[in-house]
Amino acid sequence: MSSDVRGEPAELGPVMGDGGGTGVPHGAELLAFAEAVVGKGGGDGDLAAARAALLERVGAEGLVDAAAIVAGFDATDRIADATGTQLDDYLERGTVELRAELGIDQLAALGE
Amino acid sequence: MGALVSYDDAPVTVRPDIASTHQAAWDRLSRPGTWWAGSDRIAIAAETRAAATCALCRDRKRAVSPYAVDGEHDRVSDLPEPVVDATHRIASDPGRLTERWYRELVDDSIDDTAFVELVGVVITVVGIDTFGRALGVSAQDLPRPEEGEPTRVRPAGARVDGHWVPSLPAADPTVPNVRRALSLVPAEAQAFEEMGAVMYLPLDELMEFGRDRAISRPQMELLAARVSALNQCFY
Repeated sequence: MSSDVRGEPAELGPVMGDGGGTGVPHGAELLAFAEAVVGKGGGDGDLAAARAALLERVGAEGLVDAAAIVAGFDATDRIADATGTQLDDYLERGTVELRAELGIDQLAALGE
Repeated sequence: MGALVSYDDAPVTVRPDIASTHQAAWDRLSRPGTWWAGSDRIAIAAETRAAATCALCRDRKRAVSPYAVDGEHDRVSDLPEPVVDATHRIASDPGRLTERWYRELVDDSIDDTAFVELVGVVITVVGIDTFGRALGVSAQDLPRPEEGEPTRVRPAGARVDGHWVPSLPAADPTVPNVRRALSLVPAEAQAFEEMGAVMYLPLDELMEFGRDRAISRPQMELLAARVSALNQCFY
């Protein structure tokens, strides 16, 4: 939504790991960083490399912001999942196409 | 006694608002909460970390259904088993928590208020630990618990609306459900707001899509979406 509002359309398939480009500046490095921090594969070496690559692209302040976002949502996801948080009506209405495109609805079925 | 949250070993300078908010959150861990004593809160924090190397959690994570695998957790505290189990499940495999699991837990073992506070403790530790790991900083020492009794005040008006757990309604209907999710324990909801404001955006800036930090809003959302996909979080 933020990309559309800004007139900077983004590809969202990579969010679900389809390996494509995002259209977001430094998207590949951002995704690799998130995956290295939260993802299930790799180790400290992969994380160090992803951190260094992202630092080179977005700078020191950008790296801190990226780390904060990754950590913040790693925590927020647990709030949503542990409390059974339901998608808000206005978000559900506004994301019908997006959820279909990304196959996100199948994640909801896992909790039923 | 509080433990100092330090980012001196980080490869870059951490924003002061992040550092100060993390310190405040860490100090809160050690104090009596609304439903848990300080010692219990620290024990929950320790179990949150222990889940990362727990063999039972690992086996459940690999199983088709985490509810089909029995066993004992590699615990590090004397907390009751249901509390340890809940903490480990939330820490290690949150995407496969079910309403049935939650209902059985609160019916048999833990009050809904204590559960919500437990979630608040877990996510505080997860948020700060993940941030540190992302920057290559060693895990912060847990603080020593402080004496004192929990306040045990349940807010009036909480009801099931948008979550499995009861929550308080928001005056502003555009407040996302996730920002109300811990409101059954207002102190935890407040703490989550404070963390969210510095690690993502303040609530009143969420709909300002031109709001950037050192990275742009689309870059922030890309990171957020990928993390949530990896965690299999539908919301």
